[in-house]
Parts: sequence; structure tokens; C-alpha cells
Amino acid sequence: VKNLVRESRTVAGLSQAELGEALGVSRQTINAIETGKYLPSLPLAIGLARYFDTTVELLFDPDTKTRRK
Amino acid sequence: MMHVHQQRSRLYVPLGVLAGGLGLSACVLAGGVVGAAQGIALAGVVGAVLIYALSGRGGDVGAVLSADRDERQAQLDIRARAITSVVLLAVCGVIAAREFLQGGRAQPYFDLCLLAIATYLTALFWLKRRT
Repeated sequence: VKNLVRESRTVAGLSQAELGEALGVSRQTINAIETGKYLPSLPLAIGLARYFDTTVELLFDPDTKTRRK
Repeated sequence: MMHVHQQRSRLYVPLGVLAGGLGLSACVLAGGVVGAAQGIALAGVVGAVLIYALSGRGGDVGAVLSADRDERQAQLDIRARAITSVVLLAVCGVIAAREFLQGGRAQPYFDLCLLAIATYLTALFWLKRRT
């Protein structure tokens, strides 16, 4: 599932650690979400969407697969 | 600076290992095998110290070992436990098969395999009801 978490975070001027702290998860988890290695739970996905003032559907695109780095 | 909760949660796993090691050591000591009891107690202490030291590091391994983990780290822990269980079951199965082929009773390995299968099926039905 491709997502726009990295792009949204960069626009907001946040580091992965800062975003993780705001959402109660680790920096590694934010990195894993951004690279598509980890698909977050529904509560965390909603939390991310709310944090960036967008919707889950816009933040996560289920029709596109992220290439793992 | 580490929070008090994190400091406390860092102790859970090492204390569990220490208690397990010392408990097993006491049982072995009660059986009269002093050397083995000392070895098990030492292994428990060393294991507890090692895990405590590792849990103080940042990153996923430290978080999982400190029992202060987020959802992804909890998944890592569950998967690691599953792999450990499968490996242990496979080892027990191989040893049991080898002992059966040699005409032995394959104890306690065969019983451990049966216990693992029974536990898995019980857990499966129990979890199925909950989710």
C-alpha cells in the first residue's frame, strides 16, 4: 500500500522521531510505515490522517503497492 | 531522559528471567545436583543482566525487551515468539523421530510435541472466540 506519510511529514517540517512521539510510536515504526514495510493498524492510520488533517483514503492508497527499500 | 514508566518496564523481562533461573536452580539444588544448580543460577543472572543492558539501547530490540513497545514492535515480538515455538517444536520432533527409529520411547520429546499441538489447538479455539 503506497502512502503519503513521508511527503506529509516533510511538508509539516517534522522528523520521524517527532512524528512518532506525537503519535505514541517509535521512530522506527514511522520509518517502516513510510517505506511500506509495515501497514499500520486502523487506529494508527486514523491518527496519522487526523494529525495531517487529511483522510485515511488520501494518506493510504490500497490500489498501489509500495516498493520495499 | 527516560520516564519512570519506561525504567520500570525495563525491569519486567530481566526480573522474569532472573526469577525463572533462580527458581529452576532451587529445584535442581533440592534434587541434590549442586554444580548444575550453580550453573543455572549463574545463567539466570547473566541472562537477566544481558537483557537489561540490551533493553536500555534505543531501537526495536531494546523496546521489545523492555516491554514498552508500540504496535509494530509488539508484532515483532509475537512473530519472534512464533518462530521460536516452531523451531523448538521442529527440534523436539526431529529428536523424537530419531529416538523412535532407534527403538526408544522418545521421552520427553514426544510428549512435548503433543503438548505443543494441544496448546496450539486450544489457543486457536480460544482466540477464535475472542476475535
